[in-house]
Amino acid sequence: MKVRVATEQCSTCAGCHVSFVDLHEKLLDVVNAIDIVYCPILADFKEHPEADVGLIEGCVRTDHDRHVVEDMRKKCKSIIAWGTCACWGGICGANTVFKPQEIFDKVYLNNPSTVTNIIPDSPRIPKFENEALPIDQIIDVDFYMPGCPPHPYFIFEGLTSLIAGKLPDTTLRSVCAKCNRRMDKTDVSELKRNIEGIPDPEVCFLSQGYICLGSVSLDRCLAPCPNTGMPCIGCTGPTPRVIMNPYRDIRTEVAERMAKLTKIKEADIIKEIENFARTYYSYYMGAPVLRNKPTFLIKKWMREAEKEAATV
Amino acid sequence: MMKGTDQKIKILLDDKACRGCQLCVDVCPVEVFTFDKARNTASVTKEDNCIGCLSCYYICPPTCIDLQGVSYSKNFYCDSEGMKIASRLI
Repeated sequence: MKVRVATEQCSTCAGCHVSFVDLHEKLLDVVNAIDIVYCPILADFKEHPEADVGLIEGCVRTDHDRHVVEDMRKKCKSIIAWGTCACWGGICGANTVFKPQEIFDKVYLNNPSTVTNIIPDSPRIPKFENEALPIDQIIDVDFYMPGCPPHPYFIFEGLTSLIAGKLPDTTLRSVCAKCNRRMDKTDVSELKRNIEGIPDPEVCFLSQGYICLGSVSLDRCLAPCPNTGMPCIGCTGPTPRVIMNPYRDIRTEVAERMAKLTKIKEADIIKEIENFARTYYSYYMGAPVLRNKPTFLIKKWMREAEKEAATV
Repeated sequence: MMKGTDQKIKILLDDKACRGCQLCVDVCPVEVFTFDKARNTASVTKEDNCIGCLSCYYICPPTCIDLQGVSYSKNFYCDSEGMKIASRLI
């Protein structure tokens, strides 16, 4: 008997569904073993059918999303949080540092690039919730498959293993494990922004003074960014080492390693990441397991960065 | 052997993932690791020295060091919610 799979979207971009289609020929292997009973981007059904596995993409931003995830939980035997938005809040979760009113003000009332001045308000539009939450804050989640989007390899491994009734044979290594750059100890003494200079393609970004989040991000992407010349932005979310320990954080972990590889002071690296916290934490600041860390003070860092920018 | 216990610690180093940063060599207080310049990877040479402090486990950038026979949460405070999520990552 085929395994019945339902996929669903909440507040998200549909990138994870596109990654699923990117399985190409391997999709045939998966499709032979599963029966896709619900998939809003392929067919329009109004009710969730009963399913064995439910893949939910996206975070909970509106009351419609809340209804959808609760209904999926009732109808599916096991739920997989699919992609960074469902696991950690993702990009939608990044607006957790603003109140809904501030977001509406920026988007609809005082948007510099449009002339709208009306906040959409109709019973047909789902109600905006106070904050964007990963789905595990609303329902119980059986498995987490982060990634923005997860590479088709991990979707294939995850689905085929679960169909076979076992856990996937994928590792929980960081992005560095798949990066081809060499980690050298250097005499670099100043931090560089991504737009400054041309980095050596053979040597690790941290060794060259560029902040790269590869060492704190789970490899669910096969490291395309650092291998093609762009520092990792941490879109797959943190490694288990960061998730498990309340006193370990992205900025302290990166700073510790970078300070040991270069001559840059650890405090300077931490300060730089705090100044640009909304960039470096953009994919996971919505996840309570990370934002509830006692050292995560993003609103304070934002105020300080604004104050600093005003004095320059 | 971990002090005060009978449990033997096994250090698993995935040398395919090792980037040759030598940070494990630097942080290990009991010199378990040595660095192989020719292969540009670290290797475990004195496993018996290991005291299970997990310094190498946490510093390793590609997270390619795993320890068997050491509890990650017994001696070091871990967040139970985070542990639950980490165990369910696929």
